[in-house]
Amino acid sequence: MSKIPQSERLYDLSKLRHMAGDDNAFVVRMVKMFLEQTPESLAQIDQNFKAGNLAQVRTISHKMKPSIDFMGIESLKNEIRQIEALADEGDPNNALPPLLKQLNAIALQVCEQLKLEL
Amino acid sequence: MDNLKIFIVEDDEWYGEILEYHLSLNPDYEVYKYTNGKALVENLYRNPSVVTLDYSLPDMQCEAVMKRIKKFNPEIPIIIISGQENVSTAVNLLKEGAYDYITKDDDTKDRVWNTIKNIQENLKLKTELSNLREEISNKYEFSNSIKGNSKAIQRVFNLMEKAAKTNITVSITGETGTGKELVAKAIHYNSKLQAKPLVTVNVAAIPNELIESELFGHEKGAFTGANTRRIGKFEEANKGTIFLDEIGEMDISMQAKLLRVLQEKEVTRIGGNNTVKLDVRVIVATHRNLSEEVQKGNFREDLYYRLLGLPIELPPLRERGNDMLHLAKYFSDEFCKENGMPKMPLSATGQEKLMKYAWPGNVRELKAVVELAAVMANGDHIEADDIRFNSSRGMSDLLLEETTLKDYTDKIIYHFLDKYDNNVLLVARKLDIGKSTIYRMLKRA
Repeated sequence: MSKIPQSERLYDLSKLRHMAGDDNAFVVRMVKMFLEQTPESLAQIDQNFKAGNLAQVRTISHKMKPSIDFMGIESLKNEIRQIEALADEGDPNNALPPLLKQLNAIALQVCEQLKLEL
Repeated sequence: MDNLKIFIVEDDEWYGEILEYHLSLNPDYEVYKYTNGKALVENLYRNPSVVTLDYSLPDMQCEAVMKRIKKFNPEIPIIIISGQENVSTAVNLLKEGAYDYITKDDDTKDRVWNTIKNIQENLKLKTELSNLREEISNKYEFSNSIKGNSKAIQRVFNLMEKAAKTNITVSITGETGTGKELVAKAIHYNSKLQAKPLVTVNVAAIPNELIESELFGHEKGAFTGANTRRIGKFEEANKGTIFLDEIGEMDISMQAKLLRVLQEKEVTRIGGNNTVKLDVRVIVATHRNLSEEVQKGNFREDLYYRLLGLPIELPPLRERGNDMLHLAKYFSDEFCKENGMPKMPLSATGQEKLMKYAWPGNVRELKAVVELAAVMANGDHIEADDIRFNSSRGMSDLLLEETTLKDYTDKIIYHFLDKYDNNVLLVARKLDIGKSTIYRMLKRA
């Protein structure tokens, strides 16, 4: 059972669980991988954005997509796609900073919640 | 079939993990994961059955990886998995030989699953096909298809081997039932065209008015009843062998058309304008003596020389000495095996009876006679009485027995007695002999 009430949970592992069947070890492995990779990816995005390297921002956000989808993080599903698209276009209207801030905040919060779950 | 070895090449660990996990759920799949192109190339020697390839790898271009895989083994199906939906990239990759192009989304793993399932089915069919091909070529191995040790048949083997080594046209002659079609098949399945089609056309079995479209095909609407386009036998046999059986029965006007096709090495479907280049090995067979037919004006001389190529004349069974007994034993053994019966060897008298007979229907007749005898036999041997000949050429066979005039006379009298219910007076009248001749004969017996 989850230690976090459903209403506060920012993720939904039902898709992953459905795929894994009874294999809880697989779910745990994937969650651990998410916990390892996400902070790393967020740091890289931050770094590259600051350096003006939007192509890298695009590549990394592109790679984050499947994990966000599979972990059922609804509040980032559209955002991560927007970030990818904006980075690809070179962010002409300077719309990236607030989105990146949101990505960072929610993703880290998900990580905290998931740690409790484990 | 062995397990399907799937190589996943994916630099996104998360995605690779999902894919690996999902595919591993199938117990028939052995899944390996690599995170870059170089690692895959280094492991190709392990012979993957399928490769799923991420389009954007960190170290190598996708196209370059594909080339390396194709160079290693062009048969390995490659599934490209890409984060971007770019139609032109997809089309290009498919043109380069990718098996499928799948974009990364929620359904990817299911689509990959389905694609691999299709590949597995395909591989199964391919294996089955190559097994069948092998079986066929074993079946038509010279010594398996045609049996015999006689000099006459050894000479045929020798010619068949020569015929199989090249693409020379072969003309097979021989009486009915000597195995002309078997020889044609054996040549094809022992030649380097063995994996290519062998198309057999029995010229005698096709009405004259249909044979042209049968051989050369026709376009839709070429004549009344031509509702669809039809590919002719020559086109069907392209790159392989066409076997024209009973070529001697071909109509003289059709012979001219056939000659043209053979000379030009191209065919035009009836009602069509485009010619199709032909690269076909030709084997013909006939029970007629074609050079005689040429002299009689029934067969075109130019076509005769074009088709003569390497002539193989199959000896009639009566000239093959002991082969007949070998064959009889072989047919009887095969028949008994197929029908779950114990082996049924020929008795000495049975063998003698077979050896005396002329076999106008050759090996085909021998097979039928032996199989019938195996059925009719009551004991554990085939006796002379079990062997019945049903030849349609009664008189000439009777003469081939080469017995004494007295024996012949007896045979004739017995035949008529049988026919007329042992009415001696009637038979005597029919044969214009005295009734005492008949009584004397019966007494002797």
